[in-house]
Amino acid sequence: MILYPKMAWAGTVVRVFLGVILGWAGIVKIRNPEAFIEIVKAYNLLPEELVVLWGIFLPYIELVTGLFLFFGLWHKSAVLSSSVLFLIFAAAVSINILRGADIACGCFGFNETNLYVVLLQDLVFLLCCCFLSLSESTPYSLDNFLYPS
Amino acid sequence: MELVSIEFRNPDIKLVLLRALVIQILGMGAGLIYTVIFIEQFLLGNVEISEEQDDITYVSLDGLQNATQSKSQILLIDGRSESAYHEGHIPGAVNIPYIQRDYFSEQLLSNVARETPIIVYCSSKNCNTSIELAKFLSRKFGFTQVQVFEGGWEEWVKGENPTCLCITACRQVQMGFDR
Repeated sequence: MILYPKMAWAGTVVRVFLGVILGWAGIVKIRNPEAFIEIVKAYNLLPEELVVLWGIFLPYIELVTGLFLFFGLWHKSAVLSSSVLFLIFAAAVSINILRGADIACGCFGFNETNLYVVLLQDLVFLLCCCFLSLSESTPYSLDNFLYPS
Repeated sequence: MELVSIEFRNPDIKLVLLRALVIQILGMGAGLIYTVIFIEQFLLGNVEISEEQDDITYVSLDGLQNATQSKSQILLIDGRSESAYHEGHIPGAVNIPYIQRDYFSEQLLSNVARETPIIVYCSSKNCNTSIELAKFLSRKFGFTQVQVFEGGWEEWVKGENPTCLCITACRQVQMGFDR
């Protein structure tokens, strides 16, 4: 795969950006789990028992995935993991747009209710993941230290 | 222009998937550890679950009907979008779309007494913006009597209650809010 030097650097910027976004989203939810569980409930997609489990575990999965991306460890897997998360978010938001529901998003501080904006955000993040998946690793990543080739 | 060749290491798909799974499991593990520690601390009495109350109560359809028919001063707030509000709303309701709550609340509620009973609703039982808006009004503006009509617009319409368009009864106009 041939990339211009600036593209390689762009990869680092995008990787760190996505890492911070995911980590931040996780921390916001961890700090206020009850509010997040309420929002998951409002999405009306999961049975009652799973809502609490999802509400407890998702923020940590986001945080851990964000850390892996931020530090550039297991690049492809971290990108895959974050892509799955963004896909799930995009699907959940799309379903509620089709239902015409007006719910608070629960993304970063529980403020956003314009689900179209939320969907657009998720799609942009997914595009970032696609871009990252083009390369094996990016400059200044732990992968380059641990697995030099 | 100089090109940089980044060589694919022909990633082993199985390894990538396995590592992605490990990342997810690590996340779940962190959540589990935190939950176990929290429960342990709670059982040891080191943690108190905050009983923060927002003084938000719920009102039934009957309660709302009585409130709208009686002459008692209540402020009815429609938390849905402007377009939904214009298509039809509960008579006397003012529109504070949740997404623009800061602006609309400043404009509409700054001169309203904090003891005024407020009832907030959104589209149906499946929306949570009425609850979030009620919390917002309670926390940011200090309203002491905020209630939520959980059934929302859907339940109101199902009950064949009177509805109106914005043109016929916009409390914004009565309140001198000219948009």
